[in-house]
Amino acid sequence: MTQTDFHILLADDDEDDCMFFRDALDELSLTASLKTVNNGLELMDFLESNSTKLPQVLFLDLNMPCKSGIECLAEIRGSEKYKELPVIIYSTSSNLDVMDLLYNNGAQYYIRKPADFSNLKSVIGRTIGLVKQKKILQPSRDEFLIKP
Amino acid sequence: MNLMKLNITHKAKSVAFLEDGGQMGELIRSMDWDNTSLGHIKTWPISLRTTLAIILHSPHPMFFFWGDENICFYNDAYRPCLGEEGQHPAIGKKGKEVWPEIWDLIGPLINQVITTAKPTSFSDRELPFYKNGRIDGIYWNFCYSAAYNDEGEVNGVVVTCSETTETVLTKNELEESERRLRSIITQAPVAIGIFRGKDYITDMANSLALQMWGRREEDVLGQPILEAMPELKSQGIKELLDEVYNTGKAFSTSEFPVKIKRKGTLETAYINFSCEPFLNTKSETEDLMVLGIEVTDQVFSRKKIEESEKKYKELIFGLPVAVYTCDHNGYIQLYNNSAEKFWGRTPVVGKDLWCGSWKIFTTDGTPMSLEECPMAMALKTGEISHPELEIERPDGSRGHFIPYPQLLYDNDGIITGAINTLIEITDQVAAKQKIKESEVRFKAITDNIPNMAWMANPDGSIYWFNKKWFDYTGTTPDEMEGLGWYSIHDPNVLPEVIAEWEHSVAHGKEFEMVFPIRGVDNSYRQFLTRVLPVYDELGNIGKWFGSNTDITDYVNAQKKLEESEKKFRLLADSLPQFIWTANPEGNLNYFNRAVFEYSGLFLDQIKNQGWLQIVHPDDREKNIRTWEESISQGKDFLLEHRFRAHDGEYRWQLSRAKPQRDDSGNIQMWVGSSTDIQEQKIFRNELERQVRERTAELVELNESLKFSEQRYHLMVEEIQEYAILFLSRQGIVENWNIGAEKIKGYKAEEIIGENFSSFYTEDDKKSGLPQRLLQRALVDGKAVQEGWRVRKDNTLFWASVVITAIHDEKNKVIGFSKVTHDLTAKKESDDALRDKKFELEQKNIELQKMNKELQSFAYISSHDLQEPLRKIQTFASRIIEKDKDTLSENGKYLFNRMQLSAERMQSLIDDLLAYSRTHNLEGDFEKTNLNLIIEQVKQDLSEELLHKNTKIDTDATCEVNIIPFQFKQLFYNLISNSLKFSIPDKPVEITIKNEYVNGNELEGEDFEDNNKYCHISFSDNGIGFDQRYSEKIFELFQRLHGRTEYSGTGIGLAIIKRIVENHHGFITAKSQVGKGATFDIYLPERHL
Repeated sequence: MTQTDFHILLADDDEDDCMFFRDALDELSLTASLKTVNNGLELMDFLESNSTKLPQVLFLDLNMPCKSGIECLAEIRGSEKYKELPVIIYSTSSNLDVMDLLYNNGAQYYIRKPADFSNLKSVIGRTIGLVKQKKILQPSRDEFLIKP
Repeated sequence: MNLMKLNITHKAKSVAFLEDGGQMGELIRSMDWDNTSLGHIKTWPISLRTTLAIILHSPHPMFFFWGDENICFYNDAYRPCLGEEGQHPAIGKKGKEVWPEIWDLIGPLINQVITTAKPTSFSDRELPFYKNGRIDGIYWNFCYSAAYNDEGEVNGVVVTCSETTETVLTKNELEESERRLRSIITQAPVAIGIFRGKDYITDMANSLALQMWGRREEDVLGQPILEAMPELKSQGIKELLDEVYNTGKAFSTSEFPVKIKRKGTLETAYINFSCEPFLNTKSETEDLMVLGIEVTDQVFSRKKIEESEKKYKELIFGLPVAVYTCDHNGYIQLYNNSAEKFWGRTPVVGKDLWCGSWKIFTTDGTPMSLEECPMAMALKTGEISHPELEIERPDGSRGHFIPYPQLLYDNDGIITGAINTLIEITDQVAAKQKIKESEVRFKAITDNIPNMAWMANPDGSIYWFNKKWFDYTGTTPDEMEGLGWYSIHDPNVLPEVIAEWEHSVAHGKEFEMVFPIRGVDNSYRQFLTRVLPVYDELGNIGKWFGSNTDITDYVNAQKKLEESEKKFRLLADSLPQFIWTANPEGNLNYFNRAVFEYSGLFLDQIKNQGWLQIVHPDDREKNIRTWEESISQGKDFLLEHRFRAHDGEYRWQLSRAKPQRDDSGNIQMWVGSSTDIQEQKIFRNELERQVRERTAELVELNESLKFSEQRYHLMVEEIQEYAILFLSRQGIVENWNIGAEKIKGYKAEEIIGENFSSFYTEDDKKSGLPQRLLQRALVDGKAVQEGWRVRKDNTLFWASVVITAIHDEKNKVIGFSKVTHDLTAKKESDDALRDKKFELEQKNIELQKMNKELQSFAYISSHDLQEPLRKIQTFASRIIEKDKDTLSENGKYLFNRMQLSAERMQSLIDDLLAYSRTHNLEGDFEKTNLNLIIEQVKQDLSEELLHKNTKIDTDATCEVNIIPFQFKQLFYNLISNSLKFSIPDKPVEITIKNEYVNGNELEGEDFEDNNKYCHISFSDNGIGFDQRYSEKIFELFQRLHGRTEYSGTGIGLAIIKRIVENHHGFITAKSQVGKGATFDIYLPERHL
């Protein structure tokens, strides 16, 4: 498998988190390429300009400047263009109500950013595994949250 | 005088002494002296001869007696004294022979001289002489002087004499006339004083003068008058006298004022006096005669008259009445200020004729010329008239007056002039006018009063009726002429009316009577007629004033009252209760039928004090006492006592009586009722509630009883919180109670008779609400409505109204009862409540908003806090993982410690977040089975539970109204704690039970007695805690152990407590160290 087969898009404004993600990916020795965007606008622009060559998965942080993750999710899920794009919410929040909202808005999975690095690795790995298994459709609400 | 040549040697010369001795001398010479005692002349002594020579040659009459024989010798001058006949010649004769008739007188005189040689003289001696053939009284001045002979001895007497008869006579005459004069002067009716000389020595003053001078004769006579009356000195008297004295001109003056000291005081006297000089031969003033008449009194009285005349004049002319005088020609002489003012102009004295007016008119406006004015007529013709006239003044103003001219006569009865008084009657005229006007006004007023009014002459005949009379009776003034008023009376009553009226007129008494008067429609209405006499200024009846007041309605009202009285009795008798009334003194005077029926007695037996026999003997004393207390203090009467029925049985009654007061608060009567409480009395305790219901029933019963207007009014009068009215069929207010006054603001007299729709708002009235309500009440029996009503002062109030139709015995609706309750206060408080609620809700919303904000703030801030924290942890974990080989043991250890701190912070933030979330009341209450919650928690903690070998025992079958996610937190915390604070190596046993309890079984003041509580009890077998910390542990950040012993933030139990409080419940903790802990949670079933 070429690295270019599996494209991961990460939308996160936090540099450290991006770094962690990248390091985690590296250590997971997954064959995937990672593109990061730092705010909602950038995200939508990128998607727009790559609408034919969408990434395989989008890890979406919620707290982003300009456009928040929730807004982006709404836009993405509201557009036919991106319905193939699985959206994994990647956030620090553990607010149940927010999770419900995101679930109802069509996010696939929800990852709570773990503090422990090894947990982070395991969560990302599992998620990508799930995505690769083409489980695009939304899981049940119980399975929405991926626990480390 | 011839000087004698004495020749003593010559013989011839011896008779030389006889030369030029006149006739006598010759006679002597011729006489034969040889035969006399003297002898021949040649023998005569020389002294003799000398003396003779002297005598003979003296012009003065001289006589000479010589010798013892008193030979007489005399000269020529003497000879006439002898007269024409008789003695002459007496020469040579003896004296005795010559003067036989007077020798008795003369002889001794001669002898005296001869012997004493002293001369004597006599003047004005009267000697009867034979003269001229008769004996006359002759007056002589004679002097006997001694004649010496040659021997020097007195030998003879020379008598030098002169006859002074004439002088004496003249003197006597003078004396006589002087005496006469004095007498005249003395008796003169004028004061006369004669003053002599320049010093004005008083020579004579008559008694009047003395009186005038206030002096006695001895004070003034012979003294200068000015010394005798020193007070005259400074008054110019001397000057006057001097003037007369010096000029010789007489002076007279009248009313000369002079101050004289009389009777000790200085008086002013007025004297008419004249001063006349008596001139001597040289025209020099010798004496002054002063005549005076004191006219002090006249002067004083004249002055008085003058003064009083002056005063009189002042008076007359100061009078407010116009007075003026004319002379007999009609020229104005005098006029006073009032006249001037009245005329409006100033007349010219002596020029203006008859009157000072500018223009005069008669009362009908005809001008009158001054020549025709009453004053002129009086003066010209003597005719006096007093017509009413009108004057016009130069300034155009007018006045009315009546002139009163009066002619003036002098002593002879001739007209000297006239005086005229003008009485201004402008005011009277104006007053008359006013009276006329007021009469007109009076007529207008009386025509407009609702009463009929009329006026009659003193004899009773009516001469004037007001308009109302004619309107009502439909008669005309002609018809009512004289005794026309008979015709409008009821013929049956008329005789009585006439009799009464005539009686009043005859006795001058007021008349009052009620009788019917026929109206224009031929129906009779009752009138209260009053007639009063009107007196004139003399106190006699000038006229009668009568009025008739229509009291038909009043009479009808009286009848109505009687009817309603009957109605009342009907109603009262239909009640099973005993109704009775008493007068203010406490004597019972009315009982309804029930009383008689029950007691079997008659009115006579029980009225006044007789009712006492109905009362049980044991109760009588208290009854009397309580009744008297009420009567004397005016307080409500309330008593339980027993009444005897007609069969002798006693039954308990509850008697009540209330005083009925009039407007001034005085008790008019007592209204009482007695209610049979026999059953209640016996079954009191058990049926307390029944009694209450029964009484409530009775109250309801009372309220809906049908009473007559009057008794109904009396009965409900006291109710103050409800307006209870009786409306007529048409909705007219017929009764009013205190409550109505209080609620609606009208007093009874203001509203009774009005339609009750006046209580409604304009809109309601327009929409016909009042009528609709009445209609509804008619149809349904009652109408209930809540709405706005209008008070007397136009304020609105929210009323709850019940209108009930009231029927008579024939079931016909006779009216409506209307009960109104003022809900304004309640409405207001409801509104206020609603407002407050809204306010509260608003606040709540705000609070929630704030909470939410806080929540999100808390969330966001904790989220933001968590970010770096997480990073720390991640970085730390990465380092440890990545560089675990290169890190020293200490380094690893330190990193671990760092991680632990970070973790702790993390959990702290998480807990804080959870705690802040519990403040947020979001989350709805749902009826949830607790077991479900517990299961969820068990799931979440599955690993830990397993790890600790935990057994959770639940019997929680309760369905409770809770916020699920909060209770999940609660159980999560509880179970976590139990796991944490477990005894090491001992399996954890948790028991969760719940049940329902009643609030009143729970101790503690926070529990509501009438609420049910769900009691959840959670107990474990952990390490427990000292009970004294049972409340402290719920406080925020409170921990009982050190961080190294047991981890934790100290927030868990605080969160739990918060959650329980959110559910309006309570939580308590019970424990003993080492014996586990139990937490009791109480959730109320109902919370507000």
